Amino acid sequence: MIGEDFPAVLAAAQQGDEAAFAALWHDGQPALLRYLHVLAPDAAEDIAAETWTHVVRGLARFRGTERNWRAWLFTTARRRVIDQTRRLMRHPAASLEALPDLTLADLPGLCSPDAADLALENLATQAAIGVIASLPPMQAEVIMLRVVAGLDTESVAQLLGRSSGAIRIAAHRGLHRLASLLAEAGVTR
Amino acid sequence: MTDRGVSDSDMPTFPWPTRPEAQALDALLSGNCRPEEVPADLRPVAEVLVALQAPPDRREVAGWGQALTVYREVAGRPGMPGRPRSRRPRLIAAPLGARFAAAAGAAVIAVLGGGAAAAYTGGLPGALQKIAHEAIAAPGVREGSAAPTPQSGGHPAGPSVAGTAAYGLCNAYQHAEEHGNASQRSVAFRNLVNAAGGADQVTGYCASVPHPGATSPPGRRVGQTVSPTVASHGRKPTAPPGKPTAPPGKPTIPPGKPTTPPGNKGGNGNGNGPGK
Repeated sequence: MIGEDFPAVLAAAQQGDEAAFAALWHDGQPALLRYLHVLAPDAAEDIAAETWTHVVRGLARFRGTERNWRAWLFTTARRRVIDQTRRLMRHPAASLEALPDLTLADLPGLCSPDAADLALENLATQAAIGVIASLPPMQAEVIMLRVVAGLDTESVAQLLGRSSGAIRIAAHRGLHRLASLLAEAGVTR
Repeated sequence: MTDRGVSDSDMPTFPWPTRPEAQALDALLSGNCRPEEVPADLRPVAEVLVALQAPPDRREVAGWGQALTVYREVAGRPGMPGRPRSRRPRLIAAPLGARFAAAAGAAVIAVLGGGAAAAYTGGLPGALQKIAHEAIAAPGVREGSAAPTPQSGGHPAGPSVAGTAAYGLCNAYQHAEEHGNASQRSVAFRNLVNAAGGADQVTGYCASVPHPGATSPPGRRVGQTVSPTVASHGRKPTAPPGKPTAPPGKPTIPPGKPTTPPGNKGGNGNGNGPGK
């Protein structure tokens, strides 16, 4: 997160300041890629690039806080994932307004939990993304949005078109399931 | 009975968390956790969440050149005021990386205690070691892909103190020299000496620090003019490798707890340098 400097950084980026845009990009891109590696591991890099292209085109018109910014960034990425999945499913394009009714879990083949393509040097991060990707899709996505994207429950709820309560439950269930997976693997502390 | 997307098949086996447990889970999700707030059975979970937030890997920022190209194209058009200004993303980008590293380090320590600081430092911690080699036959790390790739440019696994953090230190020092007061210069220099391994090593150290991320950085060098937008970073410039600054509201970090990989030349990890 950029923090208190965010308004100035955003304003500068909107004015064409490459340093400011670099700050936005370097702050957002790693989290974005990790999120996408859980949702669409085979296309994470491409979707991230598409996301930034879209964001850059709308950058001058964006107004909001850093929380709004991150929500916009991840909403944009999520829409790209859904668009891509629709293309793959050869479904006619639907309006983006219909998105809140669509659950990623409804999209077969989207969340193949194969994060191994993410060849990070930090094996702990790679393994962590892999184990999160093995959770049920909504639980995995909620955890990634809360922990990696840094969004609060309300923002995630808005992004996914769910109630805050449902998001909280999904997150808790995901962590419970994660604990069970780790316990099964013999991990204790 | 549940909102869409919450599978009812989860219901029979899901143990409803008690209030303290729910609070612990929420704290984990928010990154606001003191060690005593994490029940022992959730510590492996905390370890995974910390690893999810580890500092950026250089491969994760490999797309910067492409993004910059798009930005330059769009910024040159009507609708985005002003032409692209090719300021170097020095003191913005570098301290952000350092902050990210510091925040992740703080989270590790806050959640797990200093002994688990290695969780994100490349030494695969117990939980994730097990995940990688046992638990994720389904999801995760393919055999072979989990192996370190020492030939990949000589970058150490985990957060690179010789990368982003070192870059930030050098920039901070440079900025303090140009714009800071005596105290700021002193602090910046001490941090840098710690990282470089001695006062006489500083120049060579900074000269050898690579840019932390972009595959084709647009000519960033330590010592270029600082963008006005980044001036505020110069006033609180560094998160020195051994002394990460905890974000407001986060648990404070006990001094002397290393957040950098032991043996990484970029920092001694204890924040105790030669003093001047």
